[in-house]
Amino acid sequence: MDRENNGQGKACLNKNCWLVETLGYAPADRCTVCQLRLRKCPFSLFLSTGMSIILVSFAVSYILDKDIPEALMISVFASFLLYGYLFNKSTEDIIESNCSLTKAKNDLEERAQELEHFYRLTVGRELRMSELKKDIEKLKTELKKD
Amino acid sequence: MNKCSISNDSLKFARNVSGLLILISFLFHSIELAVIMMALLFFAAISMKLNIFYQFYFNFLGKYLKKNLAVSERDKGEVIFAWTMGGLFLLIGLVLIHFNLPTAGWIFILMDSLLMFCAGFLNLCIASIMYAALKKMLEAKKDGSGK
Repeated sequence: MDRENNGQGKACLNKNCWLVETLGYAPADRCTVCQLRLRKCPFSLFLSTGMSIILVSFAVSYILDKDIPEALMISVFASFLLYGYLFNKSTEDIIESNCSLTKAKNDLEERAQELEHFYRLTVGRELRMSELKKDIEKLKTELKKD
Repeated sequence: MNKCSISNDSLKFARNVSGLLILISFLFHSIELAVIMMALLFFAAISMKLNIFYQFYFNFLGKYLKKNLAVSERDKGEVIFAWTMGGLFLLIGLVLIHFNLPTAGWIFILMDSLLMFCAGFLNLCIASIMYAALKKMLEAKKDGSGK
């Protein structure tokens, strides 16, 4: 998918994201295709939830044992990073496919509008033609009478 | 906005190597390595030219691996703020260790490593978010005083 494209057919920044808007550029590549708000950004959610879990686990360990064992620190660190790595891979794919979907939907809507316009034009033409035919018939009969 | 050109791949590499070295200092409880890393992070905050990991990847490793080192414009303030925060976290950890609070100190150092890896792997830098929040607050204050 074109990274410069935000799914709406033009190159622009994610206006919904507070971080992108404040910085004035996309801090990560995915931000050029993402349309989510920072509050709903899966990465910021992952980071805030992960950090909270780490701090709570450290606090609980300190309250219970009056110490934070190094094994706990390392295991929490390793699991956070491993999960983060896997999460990163799958979520970036989801964001990109979501964006492709939005782009396809926008294209489809554009085509549907074009078709509707064409339909209106052609149906109007047919109706007008049948009206004109009736007028010709009427005029022909009037001419015959004269 | 004061801008600077940054190669994203080189920045990722610099963040990951810094995170790895800080993690090594935590695993071996090496205060010397933590001090060296702190100095390197503060140097990186002064200028990206002094960021040895970034420069190493940008000038040697990236070219050797024949990577396309696309450069993008970034706010210079954000870059300075992020690297300063990294160094500051290490400094706080070292100060805590010095004042006989080793557990809290090493936790700070581990957290610094974790945040560096997060910025490298996830491309989501907490310091950037903090910088953006500060910038917005200052702009709002400026607008308020302007009116």
